[in-house]
Amino acid sequence: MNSREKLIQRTMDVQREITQAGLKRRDLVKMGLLSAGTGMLFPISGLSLRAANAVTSCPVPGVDLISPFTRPWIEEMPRLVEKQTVLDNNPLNMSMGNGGGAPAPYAIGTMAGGDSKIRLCTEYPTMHNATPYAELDHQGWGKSGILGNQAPKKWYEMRAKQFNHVWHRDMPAGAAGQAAWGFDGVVPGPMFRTRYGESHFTRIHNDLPAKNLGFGINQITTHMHNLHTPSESDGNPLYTNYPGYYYDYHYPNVYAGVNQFGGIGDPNEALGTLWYHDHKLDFTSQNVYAGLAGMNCIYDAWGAYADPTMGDYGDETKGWRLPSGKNFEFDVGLVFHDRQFDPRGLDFFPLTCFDGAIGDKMTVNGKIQPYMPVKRRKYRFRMLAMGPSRTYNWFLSNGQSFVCIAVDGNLLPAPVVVKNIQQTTAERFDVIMDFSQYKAGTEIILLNRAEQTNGRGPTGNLLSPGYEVLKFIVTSDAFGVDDSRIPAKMRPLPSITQPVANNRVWNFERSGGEWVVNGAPYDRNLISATIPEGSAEHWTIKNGGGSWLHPVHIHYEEHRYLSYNKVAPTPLYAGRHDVIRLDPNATVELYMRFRDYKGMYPMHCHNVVHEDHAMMVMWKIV
Amino acid sequence: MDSSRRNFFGLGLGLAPLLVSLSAGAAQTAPKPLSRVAQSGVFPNVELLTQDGKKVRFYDDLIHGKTVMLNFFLVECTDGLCPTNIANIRKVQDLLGERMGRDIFFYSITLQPKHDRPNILKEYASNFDIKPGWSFLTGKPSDVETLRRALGFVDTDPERDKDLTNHVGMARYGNDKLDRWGGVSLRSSAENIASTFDWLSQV
Repeated sequence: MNSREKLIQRTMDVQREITQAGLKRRDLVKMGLLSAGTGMLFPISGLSLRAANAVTSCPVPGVDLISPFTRPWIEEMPRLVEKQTVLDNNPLNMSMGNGGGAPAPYAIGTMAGGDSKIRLCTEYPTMHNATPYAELDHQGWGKSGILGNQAPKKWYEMRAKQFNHVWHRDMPAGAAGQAAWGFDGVVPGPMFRTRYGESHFTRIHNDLPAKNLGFGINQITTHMHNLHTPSESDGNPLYTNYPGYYYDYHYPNVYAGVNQFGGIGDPNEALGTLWYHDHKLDFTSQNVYAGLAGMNCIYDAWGAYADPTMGDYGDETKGWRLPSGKNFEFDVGLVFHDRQFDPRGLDFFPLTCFDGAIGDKMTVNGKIQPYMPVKRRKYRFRMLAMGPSRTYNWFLSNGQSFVCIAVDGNLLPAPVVVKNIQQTTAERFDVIMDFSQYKAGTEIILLNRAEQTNGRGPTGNLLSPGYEVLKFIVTSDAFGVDDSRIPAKMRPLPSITQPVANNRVWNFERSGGEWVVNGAPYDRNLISATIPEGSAEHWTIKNGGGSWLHPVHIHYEEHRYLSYNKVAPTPLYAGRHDVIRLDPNATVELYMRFRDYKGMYPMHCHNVVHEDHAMMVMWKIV
Repeated sequence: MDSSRRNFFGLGLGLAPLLVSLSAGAAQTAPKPLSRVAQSGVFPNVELLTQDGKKVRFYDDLIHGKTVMLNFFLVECTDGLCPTNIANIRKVQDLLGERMGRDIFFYSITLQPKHDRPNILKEYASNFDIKPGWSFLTGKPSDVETLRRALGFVDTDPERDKDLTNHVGMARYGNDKLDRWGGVSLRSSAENIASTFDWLSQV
């Protein structure tokens, strides 16, 4: 279409919508939409009436605002890009602006080398009696003792930048795609495969442009959810990485309990499936929606267990022999993320909606309703609900169960077989699926059957058949030998007998038109709890009511459920967690520990729209 | 009644952004480019009245090209919530110093436009000794309602939505030029609120 044809088309679109809205010619003239003289509709640039209608804070996806039609199972599901180290794994090959030289075990603000690009948090928080990041050292590197002695063995560099992404080739943007923000120019960002005992270092450059996507801000902080990471590398909402600069993250990759157990801590505290995402204060939801998120797996240190039949080594011939294959072909990250587009296919984010952001397009690894060819063997899928606000209820179209091996990335004492999996924002579930029982050509669809029309949470209705999200297509492709197993037993649970030193109650609710914890909105000058390193506490997390679901995320060490609404957890929930699906009016009792590193960490609602509207507290290990 | 009312309501909400483009076009000068957020219809260009009785257009005159913070309040506010918030904003105004009225503007919009007319707002504002750069606003009740809904100061529970004090806790802040919009609690400290402006305009 040439520009005149486009204009006519647009005018006709608007006219059709006005007709649907039942407006009369008289109304239109009065509103200045129709010229009384010529009877011509004013061309409305860039907008459809329906979209405009919907933007009144919280449109219902698929009802008030409908994304363009896209055919299912057209796009192949992309595998997450495997993250590579810098050239030759040599830190000297890392980009340092105009400085040069190897990274040093100090906070970059104090690094020698005269890099004028180095600047961190200089505004914050000098006026508020807190320590600026630039004055914090890396706790895990360049210090004496076991905790401080984790010099990096792997060196990574990553760039946050803008690029064009194709969510689906049927979208009006076609193969050109549309602007997105992401790490290394992909959505989701690359998959890190890391290992306990092999400390790693990631320099994240902020190359984002000042002009955003209509939402977002080009000031970032990258949270590693939920590694046992010192505060300065945790991606705290207050530690900003400004555009044109970089921020150095050091991940010691030790298990929790170093001070207690020595060595690199207690392998029974191992994490497995993690993700990293932006955590910028007030802008987390917008920046994550823009695409600033990716995954990180961590495997056991070689020989973590003396028993050779134990351990998650990323090698299906060793330890628990979880599916992996060569180059991790059968150890697959699945990132679920729902998006909303306007009828023209432009990205839509409900900037003025307090409830949450949900969309009518379900994506997996950055594509709408993709398919995945699978071989006739076992796979390990690491399922991540990236949000911003949706809660899923997963079923398989053929009625098959899920063999769930890990919740929030943490391997369970034994696999739990379940018909469905409820997964709220930021939770991870690892499942094993065995396709060897199916003939080539078999198609199995992953269904989300939870009905959800707004950010409050699912309605509770079970859709039938549900929304089709991902199609597995069984192929006859060769795969060699499947050495993997579904183990009978996996990681033992650590004992939680250490006496608790303190009880705290945290009430998540809506009050005065904002989201609060214990009646108070987030304030960057407040530390809500000061906790001695090494102590254990008993936390009660309450949902203050109003039919809201809050996925509460507590940074740093994992928690264990003592009870959920006074009931002991089922086997699926008896393990270690970092996200609580806090259902309406729920009360949850947790056992918490705060070991090894010190510093500031947040707890917040991971419906990131709630987080951005003050539902967060900061606490500190001293 | 019902259907006409729905139409009216739909118009008030839906066509507001169109009016933005139209009024920009109506001026005989070249229309100023709209920010992407404005194009998406978040800012109805309704006519409002300041505490001095001056007529202003919400988007054209108050938002376009500016860095702002806006909140809702009412003069007859229960539990002292609104005066506490307004007093807090007053402290923020001091912290921002000469940037106020130069590149940062505050807008406090009444939730009771029928009652809170310009003269009442003027008196109310003078009680807080407000400085330049901060306007108190009223307007036609339907326009203020349009604005409230478009800006998201709503509760999806209709009963809670009726309680006006449920809409006074948060402020929206933003930079129209850079399409950056966030929310901050007016119950957090003045320092907390002021520091959002440290980085809001940083490119």
